[in-house]
Amino acid sequence: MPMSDSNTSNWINDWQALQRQYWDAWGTTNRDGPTDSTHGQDAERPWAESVDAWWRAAGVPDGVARNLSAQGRSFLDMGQDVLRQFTELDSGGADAAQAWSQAVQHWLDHARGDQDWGWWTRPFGDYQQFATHMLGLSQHQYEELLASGDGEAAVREQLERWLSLPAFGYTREIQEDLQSLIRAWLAHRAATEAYREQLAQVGTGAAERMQARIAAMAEAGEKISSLRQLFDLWVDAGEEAYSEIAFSPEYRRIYGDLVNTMMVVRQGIQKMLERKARQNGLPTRTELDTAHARIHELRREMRELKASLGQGDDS
Amino acid sequence: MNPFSLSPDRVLEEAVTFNKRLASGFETLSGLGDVEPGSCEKDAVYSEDKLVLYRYRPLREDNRIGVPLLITYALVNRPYVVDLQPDRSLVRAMLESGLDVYLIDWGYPDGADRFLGLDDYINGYLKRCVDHVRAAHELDAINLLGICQGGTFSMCFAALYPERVRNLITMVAPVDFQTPDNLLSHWTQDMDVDLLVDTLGNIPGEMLNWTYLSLKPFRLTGQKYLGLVDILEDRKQTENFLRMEKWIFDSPDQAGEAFREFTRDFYQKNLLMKGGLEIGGKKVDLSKITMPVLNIYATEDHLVPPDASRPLEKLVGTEDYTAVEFKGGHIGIYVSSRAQRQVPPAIHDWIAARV
Repeated sequence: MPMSDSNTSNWINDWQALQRQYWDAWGTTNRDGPTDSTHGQDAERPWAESVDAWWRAAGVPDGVARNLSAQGRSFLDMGQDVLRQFTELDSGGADAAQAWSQAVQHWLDHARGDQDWGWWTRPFGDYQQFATHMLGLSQHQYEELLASGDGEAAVREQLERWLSLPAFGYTREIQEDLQSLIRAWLAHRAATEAYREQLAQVGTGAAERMQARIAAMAEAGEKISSLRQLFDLWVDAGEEAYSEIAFSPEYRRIYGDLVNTMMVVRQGIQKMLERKARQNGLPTRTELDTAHARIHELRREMRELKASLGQGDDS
Repeated sequence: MNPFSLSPDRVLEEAVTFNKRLASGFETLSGLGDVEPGSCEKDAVYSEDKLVLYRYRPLREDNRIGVPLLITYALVNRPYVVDLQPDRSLVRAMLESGLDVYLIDWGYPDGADRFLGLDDYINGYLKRCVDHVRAAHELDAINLLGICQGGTFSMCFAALYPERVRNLITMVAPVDFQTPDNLLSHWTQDMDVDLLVDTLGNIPGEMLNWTYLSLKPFRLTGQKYLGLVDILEDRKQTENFLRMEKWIFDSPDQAGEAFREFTRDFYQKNLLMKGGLEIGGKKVDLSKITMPVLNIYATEDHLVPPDASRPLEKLVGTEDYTAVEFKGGHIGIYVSSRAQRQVPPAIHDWIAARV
């Protein structure tokens, strides 16, 4: 939603004034304990919520803004969690550094084993977005499908039994295709779960590495004096942990499975769509591919022929 | 000693400052409009299907090098990264040094290009571009600069048609696709590329984007955007960021057959390194590269690790081989200020001594 320059600047001034009040109130909350001063915003994540509210109000489009907003949230989430813990632990005595250390440790314990790597929601989210596009599904459809089949072993067994039944009759091929597609989806679902588990391990590894880095800084007499420095430490620790997992033979196999099973699902969906298209007299991807392959071959033959006659660019 | 030297007030202030920067950043972002890449004037001199061959207009008439330089870039991403903006342009610096520069733009393949293979790209498009430049300058051979995947293409071309290449320059170009530090290669090994191409046809650029982001997710999906907040108040720096961002995600779909062959023969079988590579039925033997070779690689490159480029020295047949190590990464070698200072002069001086 574009704004005129004067509107923009008025709006930003108003917003900044409001933010100042908001942060002051939140500072008081941290020092004096909870009040109702979160102004109706998400009481669990008020810092991050303030970023979202800003982007929503500004009407900034997707793209860079989305990334800014997501990472702004992550950064402020970390700050808020650590500060909240510090407020609970700090007795106002001399050993504030120890309280900060424990607050960060608490946050790292939370990040450990978290599939979203603590306060980082992008990696699996990015994969899901990619997968929905590849499979032509909406985000909602994809998430529902991923969650389906989480039931009892007996139900899964029943499904397996149904999938192994032979198809017959007038709709035999359609039944078979449907069974294949469901089998393919189950395989892809399992591969996605394995991929998610690999990503979850990164959180653990990153937390351990960050602890080690903090210990090394203590040893070297170095200081952590800003949230941003803490964030950058987490990035370094995270990349190191991720790299170790991503280079492993297991990750390589899981990554292969993830892509391969996704392609089998997509083939199944394409097959059903093409059947529908043929029923309605519409051209299909397969038909177009055949035509393109023939044109490509003809062009190649023509070039070779011209070259043999000394007429072409390739002669 | 405990390293924490934080205070609640400072932490709150940092959060407030962060949000203030976001706010003023909105003013910057809303006033920017489109950020267009490109700084040097050029003319289309040849085109075929979606390919366009450009010749850059000279920036000086004196001291020009008579043998032109043809740049062949990768199929992934767009070639305008070599001329992103006036102060980030390898092309501008090369033109200013007196080189006569041509550039191949492969275009954006669509469904009709699904069956284009490496034979079409190397024995077809690239060869016809080289021949066009040779004919235009009435020369038997020209200088060829291949970048990234385009560098690998240029090695193959120079091995197949050595008489048409006067000097070969490769830049961040892999020859060994299976070094232990090559994450991209590691991930492709268990991927069924036939299933992938048979299913998708062309490989969507979005898939490549996701893959590249996954190589360094903490930095590329996180830290980078927090870094942007730091510069949002500076219009020029924000424009630079957005121009780069545009290039990074401007990923053309990949012609299916070419992707299949490149993944299978280069990444999975490593045939360029091990031997046995054929393109369009023609054997690619790097020992046939007998012209002078300049190989430039980046020490911090996570896409084409330096060890993927270094083995070229042992494989080529030339006795005139020069390696240049650039201290930086795969992107920095195009756009960093160090690259602007070091890379074009290195190319110019090396060529000038050989024409």
